[in-house]
Amino acid sequence: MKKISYLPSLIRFSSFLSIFIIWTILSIFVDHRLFASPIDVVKDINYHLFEGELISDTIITLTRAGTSFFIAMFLGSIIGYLLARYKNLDYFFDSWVIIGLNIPAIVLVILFYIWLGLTELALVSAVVLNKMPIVIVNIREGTRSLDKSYFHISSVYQLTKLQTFTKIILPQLYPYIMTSARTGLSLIWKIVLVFELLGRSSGIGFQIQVFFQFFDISSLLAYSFFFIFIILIIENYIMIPIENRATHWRKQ
Amino acid sequence: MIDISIKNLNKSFLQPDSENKHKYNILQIIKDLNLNIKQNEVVSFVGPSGIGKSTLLNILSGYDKQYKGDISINREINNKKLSFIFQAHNLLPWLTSIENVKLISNEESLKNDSPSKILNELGLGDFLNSYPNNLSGGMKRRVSIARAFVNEPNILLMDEPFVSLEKPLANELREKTIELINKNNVTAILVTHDLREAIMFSDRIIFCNEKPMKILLDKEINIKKSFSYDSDEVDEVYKNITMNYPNILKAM
Ligand SMILES: Nc1ncnc2c1ncn2[C@@H]1O[C@H](COP(=O)(O)OP(=O)(O)OP(=O)(O)O)[C@@H](O)[C@H]1O
Ligand SMILES: [Mg+2]
Repeated sequence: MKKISYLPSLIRFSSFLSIFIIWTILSIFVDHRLFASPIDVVKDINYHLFEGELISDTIITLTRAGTSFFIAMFLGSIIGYLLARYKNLDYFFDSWVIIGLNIPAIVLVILFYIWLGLTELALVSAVVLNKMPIVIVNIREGTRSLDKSYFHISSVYQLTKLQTFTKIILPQLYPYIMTSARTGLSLIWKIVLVFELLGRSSGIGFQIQVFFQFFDISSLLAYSFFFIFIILIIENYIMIPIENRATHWRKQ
Repeated sequence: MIDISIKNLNKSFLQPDSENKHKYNILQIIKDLNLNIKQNEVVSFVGPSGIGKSTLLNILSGYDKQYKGDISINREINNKKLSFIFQAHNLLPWLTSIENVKLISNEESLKNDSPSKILNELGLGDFLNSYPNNLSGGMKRRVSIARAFVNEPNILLMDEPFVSLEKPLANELREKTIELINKNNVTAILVTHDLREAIMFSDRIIFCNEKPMKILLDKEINIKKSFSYDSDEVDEVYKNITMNYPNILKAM
């Protein structure tokens, strides 16, 4: 029985290894300068970490992504909740949300860079506007599906508004908030890179553009892998534990 | 002294037409209902499914405010002295047993440590920190009974509290609930399909049927509220009612 439980991780590991091997073999055959080998990339990660600006670029990009993420989550949750609670508000703003969902991110950022200049504010506003509609839709859905029988408790036992919100409404919204947060994170960090590339002079996205100009493939891959690594750490050591804590009552 | 007084109560629902779904029909559930319930009196409602028994309790508990007529309940509003045992146990799944009880406890109960005392009294001493998902159906009922009595209520509404429990367990909980009713001197309404259960609990049994709800018989029960479900005393009243009012039981 034990062998079976090792099998999936074994397969996963060999899959990972195969990428590495194929990559190494390919890099031997293809022109060396434009097709970095894994060893080049590792060397470059090491270089950019300790002699270059990988750390500070990562911090800059994470700050932009984090700021946009929290603003989008905060505003999106409030708006989504209100739209679900007040029908007329929903009738009015529904088409705004639909437009927001469908407007290409690239159009938003170009508009904001033109209107506000190539500034932090322009970048953050564009990311927030791009992400918020999805949060709104999620939280609106969650609010609509609140279980009414629990409100019977709050009315019979005359709970305060605050108690009703924190003990009855919020726990039911957690799964929707968490879904928005996780999809939001993976969406936001990708578009932040694009937006940096288009109009900022710092951050991972900006550096990628510099490497592009010099055809510095191995630095480009070094930056990407390092950033993916950071995002995975955030996902595994921040997002998933928070989610587990919020939903621990389901399991055990 | 009158604890619950109902004058000319009328209640209807809008229901979609069976043929034309854009059309709504008015479905009158309760029509000109008049009823007084004295202090410390326990009154049972016995009647077939779907005639508005739960609807009546929802109105009396203050949950459903859309009705016509006058209802006055001698309720010490600020002390949360009205309690409800719900048709389904209606515990919040994200709170433990003790948290569920504490949520609705008033300051006095919290100060006296009543939540854990009453849970202990109902045999849940080892399950204070268990989530409802990890409790058996019977234990969930126990928590919901504990919740109903933690604030030493003076009014208690019960909506089929012992339905779908195995008989020995149901009997144990019936006896425990009657003990708590007597101890707290509560005025209570019990909705049930079970005539023996009604006899055990009640000073009066109200038999009703039809839509709108019609009172067929309002019968005083003159035995002490302390006999068990299978006792000869309950049996005697049961036989007496079934013999004297065969038509009423047929209409159930
Ligand atoms: N929110 C609602 N909207 C429309 N109709 C409703 C609503 N709630 C209840 N009804 C209708 O009112 C009637 C009475 O329902 P109620 O739940 O009070 O019956 P009941 O006597 O408690 O039945 P049971 O013994 O099965 O619990 C039913 O016919 C039901 O269809
Ligand atoms: Mg009912």
